[in-house]
Amino acid sequence: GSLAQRQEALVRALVAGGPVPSGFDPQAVAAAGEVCRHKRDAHAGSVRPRPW
Amino acid sequence: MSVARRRVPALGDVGLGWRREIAGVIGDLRPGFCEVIAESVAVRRGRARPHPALAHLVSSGVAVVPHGVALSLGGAEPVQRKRIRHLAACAEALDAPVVSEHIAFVRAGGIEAGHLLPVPRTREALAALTANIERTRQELPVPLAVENIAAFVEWPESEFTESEFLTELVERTGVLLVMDVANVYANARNRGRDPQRELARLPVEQVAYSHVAGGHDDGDFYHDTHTARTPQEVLDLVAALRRRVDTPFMLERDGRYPPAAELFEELDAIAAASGAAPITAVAREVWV
Repeated sequence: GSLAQRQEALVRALVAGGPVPSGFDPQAVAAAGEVCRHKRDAHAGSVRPRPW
Repeated sequence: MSVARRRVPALGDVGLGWRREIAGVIGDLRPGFCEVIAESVAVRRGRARPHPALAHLVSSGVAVVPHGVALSLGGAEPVQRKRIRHLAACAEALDAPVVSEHIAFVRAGGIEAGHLLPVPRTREALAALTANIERTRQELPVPLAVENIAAFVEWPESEFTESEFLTELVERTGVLLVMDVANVYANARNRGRDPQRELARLPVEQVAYSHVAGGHDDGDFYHDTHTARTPQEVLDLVAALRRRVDTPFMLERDGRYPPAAELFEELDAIAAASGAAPITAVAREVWV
């Protein structure tokens, strides 16, 4: 698909349980997804909810 | 071999990433410059409010570079203006000589990836990256430099090699570069290539400054974590790059901070590899 579609498909595969986009190594995407989710969760934990 | 000139004279030879956890140590060093994660600087009503220790560093004459991690320059979507304005506010408050970001995307379709992701090396991606860089530069008060990233996924579609892609980007935009030699090492190692050869192919004339860091090998993959000592292979890349371009180098450390003495040794090793004077003499008297 277009760049936008391919990028969205990759992000969905990494952090939202989406299917692995064609041509990507499924194992690499699974490993990278773990890193992404860990980083995202760590960042979310560092942002204090506003009382505001 | 001629040596490309220093692009940002305000940056001294050896610096490091400013992090709150090591702000006390940095305050006693004599860094040539520091880099701060732009998104860690609070901005209220359009004005950046840097941490007092960071503001003190600026007032004492140390150049500070805001380093963005959330612009998503490599995304197909246009860069969000509020994020550019944040970077611009940081540049103004810190009197920065340059700001930097990444050749990467971090969100798509409204979903945050949580990490810097590589862009496919295609004409379409190059056009999107070029447009976003131009859009960003129009609103920044100082020049922009963009950094090569460590890729932990590989796009199947590639119309350019990494060096061709970077060269084409520089030719189209004239943008400055942050050459991360630790990322060159990580990518080469993970692709089974020679890091020195990979570095030799990359364009260096536009390098504003360079990142140095250590990573973690999990057996299958080398991760550029910034949480370990810089390996000798990366220091060898520092020396090789310095032979081609008069670039400043800075240490990135993002966790598992070592005792001050070890941090100083690492900074001294970077200084030695790049042929620069050490920046640790005064701090050693205080901390060691």
